[in-house]
Amino acid sequence: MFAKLMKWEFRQTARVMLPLLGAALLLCGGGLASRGVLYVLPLGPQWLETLSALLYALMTFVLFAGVFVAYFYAVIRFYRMLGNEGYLMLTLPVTPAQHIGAKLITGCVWVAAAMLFSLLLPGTSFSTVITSSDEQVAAALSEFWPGMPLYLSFGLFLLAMLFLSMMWMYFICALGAQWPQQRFGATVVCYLVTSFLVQIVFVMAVGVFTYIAAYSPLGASLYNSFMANPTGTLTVWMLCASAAVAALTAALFFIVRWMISKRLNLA
Amino acid sequence: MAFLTFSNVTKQYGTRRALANLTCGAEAGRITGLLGPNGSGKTTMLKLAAGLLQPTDGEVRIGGLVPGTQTKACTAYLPDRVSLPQHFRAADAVALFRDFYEDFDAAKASEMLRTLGIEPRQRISAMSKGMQEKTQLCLTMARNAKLFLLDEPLGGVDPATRDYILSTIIRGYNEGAALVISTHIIGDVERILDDVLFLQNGCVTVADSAEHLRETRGKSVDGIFREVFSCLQN
Repeated sequence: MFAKLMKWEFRQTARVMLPLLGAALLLCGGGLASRGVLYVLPLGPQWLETLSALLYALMTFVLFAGVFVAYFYAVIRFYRMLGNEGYLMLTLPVTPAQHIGAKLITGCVWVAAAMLFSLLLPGTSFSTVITSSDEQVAAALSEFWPGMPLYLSFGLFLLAMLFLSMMWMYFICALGAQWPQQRFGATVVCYLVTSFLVQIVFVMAVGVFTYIAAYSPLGASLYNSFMANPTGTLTVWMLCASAAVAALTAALFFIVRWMISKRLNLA
Repeated sequence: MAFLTFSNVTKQYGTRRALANLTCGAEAGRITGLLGPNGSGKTTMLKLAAGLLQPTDGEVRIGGLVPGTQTKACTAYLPDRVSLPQHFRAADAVALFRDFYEDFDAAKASEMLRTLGIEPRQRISAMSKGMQEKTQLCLTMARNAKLFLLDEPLGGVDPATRDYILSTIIRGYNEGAALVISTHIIGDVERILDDVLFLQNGCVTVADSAEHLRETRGKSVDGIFREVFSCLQN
């Protein structure tokens, strides 16, 4: 059933996301084509340069919009599931955990895809790689490879943060749904209150961390290990942070599952 | 042995008690009317059976099982509102039911929708509210479920539509299944009922077969309902 649910979620979200990403690809293709012409004809017409710049600017806008749409559409779909659509979706022979999991994974995959497009496609507007010599490319790669574990651990951390932020929004939606008659207002209030509390906790955590780093032997030892091996230490820190974020996401997942299966009363 | 059973079920919403120590059931092969005024607990009962709510106390069983994924697979639930996503096309709704319910007869659903004049590519948002409700009813009744839970299917519709809904229920209902229909419009639905449960303030006040009730009280179920709930006086 989970596979069916995933297929269903992807099909439903693709109807919004594919046109957006497709539009970005088309704009990128147009930008590349016009740049290609300019590359062949260095004295190309001015309007072609303007067109190329315009296409890339539009593409960048579409890509950023894609990231926002992917994120908020995932949240809206979850919010809707706790309203009238819940009478249909929550009576399917599927567990609440599967519903949350399918929505979470689908939403994060689309956001990650939109982010990846946002990182890669604008790169095509630069002709550095095309004009670089083999030696320059080899030198750039030799600098790149040693940092790979750090880049991967940073990527893992970003992914974990994406899952956490999505799960956090689901938690707020589920919390707001505890007041079914004023669900929208309750959700907004829950968002404001919980965000405020999280910011307080975050500031306190930063204060504690700064104190430890500045005054405790642990801080000195961390500093020494960082100075001895910055890349390795940062990689370990990133992995630890990713694990902590994953644990927090799992805790929120179980709370939301409990709310939906035990506490929810659809309006 | 009833297929759907409520044993000492209490449901509390905060301080408000919707169901109070309720014990009743619905048998397979019979149509049970869940009758009561607004706020009597009919929707809460059906939501509990559909697995959308958890009882505060007591136990709900469907074919001996506590509501969950197994019971949802054999229960066809029609809510008292349109739950189909507005961006869906009629074909999407059929595809959803076909994908998730093994007992769903897609050909039957498509035929029922075609009879209503609904094109597969027609969006739910482009349909009138009545048409959306009928679409939902067609999808529900196109299942060969063991338990049908219909929450106010006649609420807010014109008499012609009521006839259509009742005939769809009778045609779609599989003979061996238990069917529970909640309503407070009893006149139209009375002729199809085998059993009746009168619900008031979360308690069952009358539970009997419709035939026996008519014989012993010398009145129609509608008449008895008006008498029980003191609605005959102006």
